[in-house]
Amino acid sequence: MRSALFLLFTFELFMSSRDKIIQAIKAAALEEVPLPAAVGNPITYEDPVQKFSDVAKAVGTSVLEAESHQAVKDHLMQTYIPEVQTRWGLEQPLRMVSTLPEMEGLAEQITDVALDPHSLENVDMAIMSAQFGVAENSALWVPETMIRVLPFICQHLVLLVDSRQILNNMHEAYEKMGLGDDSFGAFIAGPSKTADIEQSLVLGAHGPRSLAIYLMA
Amino acid sequence: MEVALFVPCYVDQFYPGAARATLELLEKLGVKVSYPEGQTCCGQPMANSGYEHLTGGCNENFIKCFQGYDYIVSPSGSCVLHVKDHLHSDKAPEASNEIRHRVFELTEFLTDILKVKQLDARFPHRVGVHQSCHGQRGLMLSQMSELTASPFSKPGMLLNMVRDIELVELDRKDECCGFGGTFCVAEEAVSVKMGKDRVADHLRNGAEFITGADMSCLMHMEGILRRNKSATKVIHIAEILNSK
Amino acid sequence: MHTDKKHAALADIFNKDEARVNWHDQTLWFVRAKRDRLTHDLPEWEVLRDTASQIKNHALSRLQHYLQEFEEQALANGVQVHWAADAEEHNRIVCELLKKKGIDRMVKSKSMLTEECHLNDYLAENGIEVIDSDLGERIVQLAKEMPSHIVLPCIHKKKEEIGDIFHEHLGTEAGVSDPQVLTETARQHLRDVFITRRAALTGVNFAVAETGEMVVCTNEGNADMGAHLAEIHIASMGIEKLIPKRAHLGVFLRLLTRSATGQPITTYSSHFRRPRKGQEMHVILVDNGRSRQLARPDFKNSLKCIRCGACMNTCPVYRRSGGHSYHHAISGPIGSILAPNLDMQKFADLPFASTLCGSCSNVCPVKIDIHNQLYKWRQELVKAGYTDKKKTIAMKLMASTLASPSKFKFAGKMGRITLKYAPFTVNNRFNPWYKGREMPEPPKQSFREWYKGRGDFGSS
Repeated sequence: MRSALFLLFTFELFMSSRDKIIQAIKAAALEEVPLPAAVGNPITYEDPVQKFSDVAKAVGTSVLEAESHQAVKDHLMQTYIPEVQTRWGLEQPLRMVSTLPEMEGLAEQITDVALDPHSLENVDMAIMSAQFGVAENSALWVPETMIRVLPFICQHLVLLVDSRQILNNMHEAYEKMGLGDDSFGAFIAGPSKTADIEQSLVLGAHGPRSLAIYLMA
Repeated sequence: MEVALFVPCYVDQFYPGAARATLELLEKLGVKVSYPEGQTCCGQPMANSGYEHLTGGCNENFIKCFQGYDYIVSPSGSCVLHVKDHLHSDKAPEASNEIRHRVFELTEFLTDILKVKQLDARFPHRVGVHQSCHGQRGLMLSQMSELTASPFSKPGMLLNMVRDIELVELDRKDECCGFGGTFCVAEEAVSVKMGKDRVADHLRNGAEFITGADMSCLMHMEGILRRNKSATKVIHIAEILNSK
Repeated sequence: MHTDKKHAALADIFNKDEARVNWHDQTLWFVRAKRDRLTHDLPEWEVLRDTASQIKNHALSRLQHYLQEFEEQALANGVQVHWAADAEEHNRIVCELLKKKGIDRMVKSKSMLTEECHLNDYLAENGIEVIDSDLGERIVQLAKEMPSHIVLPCIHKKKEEIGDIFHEHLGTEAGVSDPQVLTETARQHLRDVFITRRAALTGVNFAVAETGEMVVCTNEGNADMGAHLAEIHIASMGIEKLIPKRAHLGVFLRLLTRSATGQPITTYSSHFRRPRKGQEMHVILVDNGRSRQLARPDFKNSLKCIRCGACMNTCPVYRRSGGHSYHHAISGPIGSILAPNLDMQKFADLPFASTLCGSCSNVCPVKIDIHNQLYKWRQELVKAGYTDKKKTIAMKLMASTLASPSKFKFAGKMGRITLKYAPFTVNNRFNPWYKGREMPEPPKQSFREWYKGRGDFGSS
């Protein structure tokens, strides 16, 4: 009897935290509750692209349209970059980087996954593409491309998205993604921001100060 | 139909006018009303303070007084909610269950059971309606601002049957007044501040009277109004619906 | 911040400055109003709440299964999994991970769990410096305070006070209080931190059992800046954060930020599945009382909480007493039902810091019946003896009076006589009612007396 108690005691003592936690949960002996059905008829929009664009603008994103990568490149060079430069008082030369081969010539190409992410510390503008967007909240799905930190560390972010890839809501988004296999990915909706000081909105907390989206026809 | 009038303890002692108006209004609408004499209290003051286990005596007395009636009607949403949620008895489980289903707050009794469509009442004043939380969120006397659902209001519907009344819109239409039972003394500072803010909303919007279906909230707000020597008064909704 | 004062006393202090109470109330009401605008725009809002609630109920009912599934997936993804039975063990694990790599400085993004565990203090005692990178948290950290709100940590501070803190610690000019300027200063200061720290700790908003991934939501991008630059990323999560399937994220991400701040979604919803090349990723699964709460039938569903803070923004008591009056890392209504599980004696006051108005339960995106649990905690605490003995005596007296019609009649008469003939015995400074309110005017007759005069008794 005494040795049994001792065994029990030492078992308790040497039981891993993992086992302790699992045991405690099991001991709570909750009756299984079934999973609910999926949300029926979530909101859809007559013109999801319009809705996407309205919501994006409301959170401080610039929404632009372009026919082709070349058109994006032209617009960036002739209009958008000078605008950003003036508005934010950026000094030349800008460090522009991109993960898109189409931006060759305008931006430095990131092709090496082993690049030290700290080396991107001084990037002024990053040009990347998003897989799809969501109309209800203007979020864009940006999977890891080359360097994980790129869309966060740059001062200004430009994302290209196919306007046929604007979904209505988040349920459609996860349906499209399935289980996925991205090591990392993020929904990005607008420039980095904070309202921690008296609820006044300030753009450019730690991540990009601005976000521009090119809706590709 | 035989209705028992349940008059909460503090209404009996401090606001008999609200109970009288309830009784007269129901009689005017052709209801036979009795007032069981032995009644005291629903037990909520103890229960909300964590002493529900001491409410056994209260419960037995309540059951003794109110069993056997078709309906039990009371001019207090909070007490009704307490009875509906917590009345129980090991000695008389059926009777307590029965009572829990037959107890109604006055405005829900008028709208849901009597289905009152018109009232012969006149109250030529600007009136602000205080939505007492237990009536509104507990008994669902009116739609709650937090929910995404269609609006309705049982007290509002009845007040709109009163001639010459003008209902004022509030900035925060269903914020708590801060009475909260023993909260009003245990958390004195916050309770008074909540009450002041609620009263200020009514005053800002020009209310001459603040009404509601719960006298306890009105008692709290009256204390603040009178402290500030305000001309605005509180009045139980039964008194408006019963006015000529 | 350590205090022996209870909620009522702390709230009383907060209410000494009425203009500030008004400002605090209105700032948070503004957030509640933003939440209303967004939620009322979505016809399926209530269905979403129902669905989320049921998913969480399901997940909690099979928690050991989902924890094991998550562990398996995370390990397969190359994430190292640790289990911590309590706060102390959690802190020790973090400390050991850092020591093993010879790291003595870490950057941390918002994690209420680490506040609950008092991680920063523990690491400081062990020679490790932690810098909080969420702007609000950095501000309270510099001020040596606790967050007063789980989503808006420094909502209790005015910009002028923040200006003073920045002047003292970050070298801004004295008197500068423009949020734009202060935020820019913090950006520069924290960029330097992100670039130089080899370790980053983040919280977890949702962990998906099916894929082993962890989702972290921020507006500032601070979790990402920390994690993607550090060579070791530690994610700390309570075991209740698990959801079964990836598709469920669709439900929760729609609810979280609309409820929290009235935004359609946070700027960043980052899905961490595998460490990047050359990086270590760790997850610590923390119990710290959660399995105990799970075994309490009346309180288990408090574990559905997704930490949106909507119950705080709507709570009329929270808005007028400030987060610090709850003397716990998680304040407001949800804190008041979670804290007693951690320490009944210390937090016995919190379930009473409410009028039970029920607004919290109505805004809760996962439909926790917060106000009912406050009521039930009161019963538990009284039964366990954690209330004032004088109150117990008074309540017993009250119960016996109210149980007896004759005693009640007599007491009522006495009460009214006292009011009418000797108002000074009641209307004095010892009566907390009278401090800010007049007593009701005693009527000549009670209703009962009037009714008797009508001659109707005996009709039933």
